[in-house]
Amino acid sequence: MTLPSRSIVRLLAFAALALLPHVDSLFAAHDVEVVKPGDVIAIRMAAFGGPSGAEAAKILAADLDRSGWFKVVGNGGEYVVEGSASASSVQGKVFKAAGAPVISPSASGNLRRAVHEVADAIVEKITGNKGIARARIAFISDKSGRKELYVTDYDFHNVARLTSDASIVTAPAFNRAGTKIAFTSYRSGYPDVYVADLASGARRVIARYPGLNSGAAFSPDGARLALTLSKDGNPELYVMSAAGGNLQRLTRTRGGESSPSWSPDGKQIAYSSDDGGRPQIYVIPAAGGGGVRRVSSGGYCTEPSWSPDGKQIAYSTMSGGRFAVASVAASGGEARTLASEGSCEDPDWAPNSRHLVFARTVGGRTDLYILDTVRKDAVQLTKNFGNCTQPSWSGR
Amino acid sequence: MEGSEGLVTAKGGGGIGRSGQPNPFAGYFQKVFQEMYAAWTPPLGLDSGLVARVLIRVEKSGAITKVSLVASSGNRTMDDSALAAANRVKKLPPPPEDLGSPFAEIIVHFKIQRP
Repeated sequence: MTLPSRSIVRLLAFAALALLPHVDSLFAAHDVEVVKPGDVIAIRMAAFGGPSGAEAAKILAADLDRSGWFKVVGNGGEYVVEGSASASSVQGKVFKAAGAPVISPSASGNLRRAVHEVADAIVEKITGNKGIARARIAFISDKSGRKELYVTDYDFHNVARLTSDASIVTAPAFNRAGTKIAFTSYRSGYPDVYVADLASGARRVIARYPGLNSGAAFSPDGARLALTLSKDGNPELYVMSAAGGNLQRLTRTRGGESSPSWSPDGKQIAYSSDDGGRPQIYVIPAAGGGGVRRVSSGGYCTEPSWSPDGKQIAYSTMSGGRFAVASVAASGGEARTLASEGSCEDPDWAPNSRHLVFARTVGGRTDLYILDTVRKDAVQLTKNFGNCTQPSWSGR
Repeated sequence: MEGSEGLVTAKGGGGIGRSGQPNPFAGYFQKVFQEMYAAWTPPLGLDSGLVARVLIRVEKSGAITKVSLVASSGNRTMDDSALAAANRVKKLPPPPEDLGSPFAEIIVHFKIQRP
């Protein structure tokens, strides 16, 4: 079913008054175009063979549904998927009607991850859009009694705790390759920036200057970090080498700058600053120099996330004591509210620039949700896992 | 050329006609669009780009007294969904005087386009 509220509305064409010679009464036909996205693509899961076939089919169906592009149906369907799976590998085949296979993806390793890989291959082949099933999410949870860093698959499986600092860990940010996470920890008693390597489990301190070291974000090529340092007085925005050093100061204001987020081409950085009074979202060239422009338009706006397609900047905005997640075109303009039930903050765009993960607080508990900005529905990601905040996608 | 049955129409956008002047009927067409949009449920699993064109006749009262398919999408289910939507609306706001006399005729293009 397609509801108007979930659909893309376009009113494209109107007719100018046009008369035909043979029509003697004063009327002519006018055009009104009604465009709807149809529904999602109907796809049917045929039987999956092999010892882990049933489990793989279940994971794949959930992935395809969660992608937003497909609806898994029991009968008919524009596409049919069949396949087989063992505990450590999966093979799929996707057919259209009675034709030859459209795609025959396969993957091996951890079964869930392998199926996610197959799901993304199907999404990318049939819709031309990037899949998000392989992507992971770093976040902070106070489940242990302290705020520690965790990482999870995008469906809240394979959850792993990465720190045991027993102090405060905050502001995690994945690199695009999904191999490293930058974060802030107060383990030394002061806020320092660390980078953890997921494969080795090793971590090292990247920024330990006097004062605040916080909010590091990897550049799209992974070579640089943008972050906030207060070593020269108040919090200012800097760019440094991801290996450490090579500091370059970007801002000089009386206010505080925070939450940098890179444009996908690595040439600009969106950030939050309260230099003009209440915090607003600004964009500055990553190479420094002037040219700062404001993209939010009033209220209290923080925590920007630049979409990987470069078009949108999502952020948290506060009014009446509650946060909502909003988005504005990267070139500026009118903001649209994306999530406002309860208190919603910390948005981060998924690699497909369609989904957003954010933290929602309802009844004193904070959990992560994934919002499909096309379908306009939000699915709860974390459950019974303490308060979960500050999510960051890999792969974006 | 757009449309059918020999009717010549010119497409503008956002209520601006080819002349660059605001279309005086844009407000009315917006209402037609809203009613048709709300009434239409596109069928599941059809190819993107299908268009069914349905002619509606709107009397001075706003009553829709004629609904006909003027250009098939090539898919029966799609055509039926478009006709069903136009039939479901039944009544629109009274059209502006200058839109047509004694009645106005509008071709509604129902189009499926995947996001």
